[in-house]
Amino acid sequence: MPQNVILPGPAPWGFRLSGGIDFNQPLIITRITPGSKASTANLCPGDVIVAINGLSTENMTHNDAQERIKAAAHQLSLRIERYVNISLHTCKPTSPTPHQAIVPGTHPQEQD
Amino acid sequence: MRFHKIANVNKALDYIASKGVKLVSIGAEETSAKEGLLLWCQRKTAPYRNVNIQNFHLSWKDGLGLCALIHRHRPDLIDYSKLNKDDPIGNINLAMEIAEKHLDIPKMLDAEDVVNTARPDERTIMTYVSCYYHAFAGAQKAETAANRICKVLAVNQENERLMEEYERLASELLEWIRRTIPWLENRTPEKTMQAMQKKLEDFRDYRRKHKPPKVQEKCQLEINFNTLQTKLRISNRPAFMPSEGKMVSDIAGAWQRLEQAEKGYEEWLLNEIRRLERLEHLAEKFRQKASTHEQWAYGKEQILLQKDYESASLTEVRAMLRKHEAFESDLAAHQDRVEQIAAIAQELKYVPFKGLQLLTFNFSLISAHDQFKATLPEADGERQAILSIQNEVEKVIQSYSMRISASNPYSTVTVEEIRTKWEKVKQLVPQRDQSLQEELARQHANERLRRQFAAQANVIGPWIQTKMEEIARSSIEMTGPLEDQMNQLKQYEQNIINYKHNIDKLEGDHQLIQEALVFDNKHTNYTMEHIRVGWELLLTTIARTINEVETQILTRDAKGITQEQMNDFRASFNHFDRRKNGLMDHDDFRACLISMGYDLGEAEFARIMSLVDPNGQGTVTFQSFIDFMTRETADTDTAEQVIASFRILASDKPYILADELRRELPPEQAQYCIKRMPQYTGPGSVPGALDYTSFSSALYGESDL
Repeated sequence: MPQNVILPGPAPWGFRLSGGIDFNQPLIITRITPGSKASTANLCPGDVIVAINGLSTENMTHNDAQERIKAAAHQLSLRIERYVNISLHTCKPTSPTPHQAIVPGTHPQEQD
Repeated sequence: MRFHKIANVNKALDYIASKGVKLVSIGAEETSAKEGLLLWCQRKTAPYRNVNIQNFHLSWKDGLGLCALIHRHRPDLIDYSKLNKDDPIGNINLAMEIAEKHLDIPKMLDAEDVVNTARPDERTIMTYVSCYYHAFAGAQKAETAANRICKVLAVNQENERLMEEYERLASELLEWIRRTIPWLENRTPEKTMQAMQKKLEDFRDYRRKHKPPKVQEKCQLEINFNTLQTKLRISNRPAFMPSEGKMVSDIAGAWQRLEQAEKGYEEWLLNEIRRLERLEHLAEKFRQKASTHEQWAYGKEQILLQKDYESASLTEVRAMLRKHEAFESDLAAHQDRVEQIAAIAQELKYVPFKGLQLLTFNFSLISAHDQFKATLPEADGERQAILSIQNEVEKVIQSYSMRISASNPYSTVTVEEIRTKWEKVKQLVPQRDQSLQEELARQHANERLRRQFAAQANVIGPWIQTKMEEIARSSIEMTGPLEDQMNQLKQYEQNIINYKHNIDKLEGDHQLIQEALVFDNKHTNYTMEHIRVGWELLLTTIARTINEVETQILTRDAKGITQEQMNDFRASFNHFDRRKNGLMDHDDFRACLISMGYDLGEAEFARIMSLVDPNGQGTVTFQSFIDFMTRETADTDTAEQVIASFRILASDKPYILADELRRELPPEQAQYCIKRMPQYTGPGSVPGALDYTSFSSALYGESDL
């Protein structure tokens, strides 16, 4: 079940993107920089990015996805799919409740 | 005089700075830079016996130092062998001339001044020498950077090629499997033995000629896939994901279906042939019995319907009655035979497919035949007796001039019939003799074939088993270097290739056996199928094992450095490890890098420091130094290194221009980059600026955002 995650701008967002259609692989987050906006938003390694700012990533090359993410100015909206797996990170699996989405200014750890 | 020279030096310095060449600054605090530069000079001039650089003044007076530096990097520019100490002014001027003309380094020294002053000015000399450093180390750096980029692109292109090849081979193999399976699953029986024999022959062709290359293709495909994945992993690229339906698992699945269809097909073929054989045999029996019966029954109806008793005499009627009784008992005997024929016909209709007993040849048939032959003389005697009786009858009729026919009213059998039948028996006996003998010979021949096959199979089977075990052991027990393991495996491979002719011979014998319709062999537990499967497995296993070792060697070599390089690193480290405690401090590390030709800007140096001293302890251990050098010198690539390479070519700008690419890279690679690099849109952008950072990270399928 995909969920929406919104990161308040500006960049850097603090995650490593991997994959793309030119690699025959899904666009997937492979690393989260500790203390970054991505980590605050509870993104996890292994999250598959399904849409960037509303646009589906289905046929995107790695470059395309990179460009779009870079182009996001005051906020970055990602739609991700998380699969339950026995991995090393401490993220919880996706739940259908809509209030999982982080809205800028409401998270207690939000700074400036 | 000197005033002018200082002004000249300043002008020269400005000129150099305007070219974007960074100078090693010569402040008092930068002693590490000075030391690094000195070491660099020493290194580079080491092969020149008449040069001995110990400082930045006296050592340079004879001008040979400068010339040596030039010659070391650009032997095409200077003929060093023609120089000598006795013309120091000439040497210095020559070096400056060449440096100005070819290296864009302005003439900063006054040759006479240098030679005639007791102790030339250290600063001037150092400045001039550092220009040489920048020119050569810089050129080297640019060349290294360009080489690295080309290597990366070449790796990319190679990987892309391997991926395409994999996809192509996979498609072809899957297509062949797709075509072949329906043929193997087609179980429509043929009507004749020949047609089925042809089918069996086709199947044998398939197993001996058409399938083995496909087995090899499949094995090759697996190997290619593994090698590709290893190469990708080593060059830090994302793993290869074949397109839909062409994954290794898909191919394995399709292959499995093929082999299952094969197995079923061969079984079915043999069963069908046995069934047809049995049918033919029964049909023959039927024909014989039916025709005999037909012969006997022919004309009987006519006779029975005759009403010749109506006008006959009593004697004649009595004779007819006896004839009729004889006929009835004859009929009873024939009744049995008719029932037999009916039974055979029934069998012909409903012969089951499986569980047919083989027609074992009974030696008792021969003895029965012999017994029969023994009765022939007696029968002949009886025949003679019958003939003589008939002759007597005719004589009596003649002598008494009776007007009755000589035909016997008591029997339907005429002399003529007896004669014909006797002739027939005389013909048939030797014929049967012959066919029995032929059958005996055939049975013997079959037995010989069985033994021959068995003898070979019983040797080949265990040989294959032993080889498999040897191969397995070689991977487990090998403790020596990988090359040794590879040699041993290659030897096994050669053994196997040399052994192949035995398999071919066995196939030949198997073909003979099948043509002779022999389906059993109690002399061996191995069937041809066993041997084939074992052989194919052996070929696949050796190829796979060799590939595994190749992969290991690739991995090892990619990460490794030579012993010589190791010695070099050790020497450098030791020189800068002042307190001899296995640690270098930052300044020393920097000097060390400079001495190795790594001229670094602040930003670059800071980046490297964060790599070698991640905890900020202010020192660099030998291990982290080695790790860093390994990363820098080895072929492993990361996106960062490629980005760093482009940065060098772009003279530290965050973007690169098409012209710069064309200048530094070979035309093909330059075009490739120009085509694929996106526009740079960051700060300081100019028209035509290309973003090498996102291009590089996209090469590795990874970006930090």
